[in-house]
Amino acid sequence: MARAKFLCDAERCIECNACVTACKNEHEVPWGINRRRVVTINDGKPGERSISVACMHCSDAPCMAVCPVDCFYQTDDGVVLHSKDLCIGCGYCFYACPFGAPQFPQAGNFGSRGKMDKCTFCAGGPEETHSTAEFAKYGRNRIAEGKLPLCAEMCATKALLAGDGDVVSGIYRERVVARGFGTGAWGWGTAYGQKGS
Amino acid sequence: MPKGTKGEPTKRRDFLKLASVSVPAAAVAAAAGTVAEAATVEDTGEGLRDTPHTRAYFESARF
Repeated sequence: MARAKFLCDAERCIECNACVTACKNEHEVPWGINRRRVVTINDGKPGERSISVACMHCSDAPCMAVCPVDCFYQTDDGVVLHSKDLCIGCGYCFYACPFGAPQFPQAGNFGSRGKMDKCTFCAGGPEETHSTAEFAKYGRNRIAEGKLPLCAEMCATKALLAGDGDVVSGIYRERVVARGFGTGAWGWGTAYGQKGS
Repeated sequence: MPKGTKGEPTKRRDFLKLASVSVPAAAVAAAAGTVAEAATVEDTGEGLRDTPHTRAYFESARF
């Protein structure tokens, strides 16, 4: 069984923000909402790293656990999706998410929030596949078309990988082997005491 | 005529005959192989699946 996963290779990400732009354009995401963004740590200093972050479609998703109206569901591929018809915009998922994935449009004055919006792994939502309603609420359903998330597909350096977790991890493993010790995954230095590598 | 060159015209004809038969045969075999591969790759359903598109993407990421 395929398990949908994102993986960002921090050694390759050049902070071009093409993934952010591609996502917004593909799904016609409204102004003020970014389903994906690039985070840079140690900006301008030695050891600077950038990672592209969106919903990571957690296996045991905390957003699903805290939602008071139970609007989340997980597909057979492990993609975490939600129903905007059920969402009440309470923001609990935003507080629960370790990646800050849930986004809220400003629905009105006095800080009132609209329905939550987040990365769908380009898998649409609960509406009928390829319908106008699905596109308007959740964006394009590329997975149903036999494709993969556009952010990963058009990443110039192929830093952002998406797809079946087994395949994605296999590709990353090959890279780590080719690069050699110390230049592997983001967090390697923290885990093994090799700073700045 | 030296002995070594005696059979040369025959060899050349053989080669041309072989080429005229083998090239189309190889093309047919290649085309058949492509169709067979596409048939095994393409899965039905709406979920995450193995398609020529995804294979091309993964291939492009292996560098």
